[in-house]
Amino acid sequence: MKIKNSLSAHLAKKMSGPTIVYLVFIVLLGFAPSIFSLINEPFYLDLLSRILVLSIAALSLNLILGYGGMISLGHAAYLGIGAYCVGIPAYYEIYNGFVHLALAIVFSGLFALFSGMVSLRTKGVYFIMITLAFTQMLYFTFVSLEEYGGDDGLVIELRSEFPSILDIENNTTLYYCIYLTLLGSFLIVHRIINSPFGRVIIGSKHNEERMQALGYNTYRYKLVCYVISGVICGIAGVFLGNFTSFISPEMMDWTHSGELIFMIVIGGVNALFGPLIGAALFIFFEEWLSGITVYWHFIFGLLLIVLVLFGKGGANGLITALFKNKK
Amino acid sequence: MTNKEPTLLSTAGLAKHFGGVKAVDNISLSVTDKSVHGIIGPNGAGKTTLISLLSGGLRPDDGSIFFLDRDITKESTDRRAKQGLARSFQITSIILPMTILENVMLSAQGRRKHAYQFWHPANENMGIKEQAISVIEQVGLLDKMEKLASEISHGEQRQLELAMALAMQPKLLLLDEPMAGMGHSESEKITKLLNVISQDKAILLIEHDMDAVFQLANTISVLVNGSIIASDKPSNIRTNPQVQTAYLGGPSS
Repeated sequence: MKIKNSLSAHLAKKMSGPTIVYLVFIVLLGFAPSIFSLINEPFYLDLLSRILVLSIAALSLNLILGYGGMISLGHAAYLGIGAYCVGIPAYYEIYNGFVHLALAIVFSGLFALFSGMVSLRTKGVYFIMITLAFTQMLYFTFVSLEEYGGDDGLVIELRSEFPSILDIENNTTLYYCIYLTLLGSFLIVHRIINSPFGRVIIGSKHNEERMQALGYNTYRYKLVCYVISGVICGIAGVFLGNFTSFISPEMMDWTHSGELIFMIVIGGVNALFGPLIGAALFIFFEEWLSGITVYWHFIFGLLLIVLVLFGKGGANGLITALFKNKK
Repeated sequence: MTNKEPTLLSTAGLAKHFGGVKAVDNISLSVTDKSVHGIIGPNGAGKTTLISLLSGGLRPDDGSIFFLDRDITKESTDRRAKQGLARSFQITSIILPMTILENVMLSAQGRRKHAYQFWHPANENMGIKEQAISVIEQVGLLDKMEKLASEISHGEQRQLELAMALAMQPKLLLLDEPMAGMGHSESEKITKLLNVISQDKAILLIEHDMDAVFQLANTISVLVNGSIIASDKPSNIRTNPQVQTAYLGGPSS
């Protein structure tokens, strides 16, 4: 008991109030499947799986957007690449999940490398437009690939197989795979932003000229960060493909890239756990409002405008403010 | 004593035009090791343009720059910095959302081989931290080092600006008005510090504080309308009639 007390006191000293709230939330997510089966609502598990997949994607985007100041409007490309790395092999009856993951890592990494090499030479609006252009190129490439369904997409008959390790045909197992991947991604992003590399990235966002004067080739640092972000999002795409069991070019549509940005803004730019909270709120409102009226897009849009205008720092900003008031 | 040291930096016929304005026109100068080369001149004389050309922020239209006997005219800013050319900015250029310590650690880490370390927390890199702290102490910010750069006073930001250049452990410091905006006592303290530093480093100093320049510099060049009109020992510059008309306020005293 004493040890426990001192441990929690130690943790409390090291962690801020909001961080503890987020960690409790994340621990609860680990119990979600049991809770949902207790209350007999399996649909909620579907919803939560989608939230977590999009959290991984938004988290990877936040690494370059929030911390690196690289506002990409093409991040949905990596979700699509990851999903097609499940769908196309499955079309040829290659169901091995390790093959899918390896392909997703290689292709999302390569796409990030080439698109980054071009787009990172520009700044501001030009950067946004070039990231968008690359994703649209990919979108139309897949639209024109009749072999893989073109516009109509592909149905994935079987989910990725991890023989004698995991069976993700089971929704709960798939959920835990996504959950653990999300935890891993949090750990990776957390370590990166606090590392010397991360400092260079954050410094470049705020003052690139100074960073170059200090001896940093900021272009190369940003490119490496861009590739890491793309690869993490590609892995999220593998889960998205498995989860929806259907892939189409529509996954890469630029509106989905925009949605990822919204999730980050709602959750709080520059906040490690912001993308998770943002994705949860985004999907929650989407589901809730679309159940009330067919004109839900309108209300949803208004809500987003209000959140962006008045909720400075997003949900993370609100939670942080709550803790400050208590003190 | 002054001329026995090797030349670190030299330029030949350096020129930069902005439209029709010759901001820097045919400048040839050299900085020897362990010395201070002061550059003075009225506002708009091209002093900051010169620093930007030397540090790589701007590309010259003509002429070349040599550093450690290598032609660096076409090299990028970060390559020049890695070779030991550090600059400070006239308009404070620091990373505002980071603490003083984090800012200086970033600069201490810059000239190391690379900073592609993704996993270990930057704050726990003891070698770099110690180096950063000793520089912070030198410029007199030790008691504030955990404060955010955005929270400290303007004068303290100027001290941080200088600390970031020093922490790079450069061979040559290009200082663009390091004392601008500092209080009198800080300015005196920094003058003393620069004096100590110049014992084993070269400094190219642009400064409006005449007392400081004449006190520190071994050589002073006077820049007017983009050209150097005189370059000599401080005592000779003081009495040079051309300089007095152009800059020091007419031939008097």
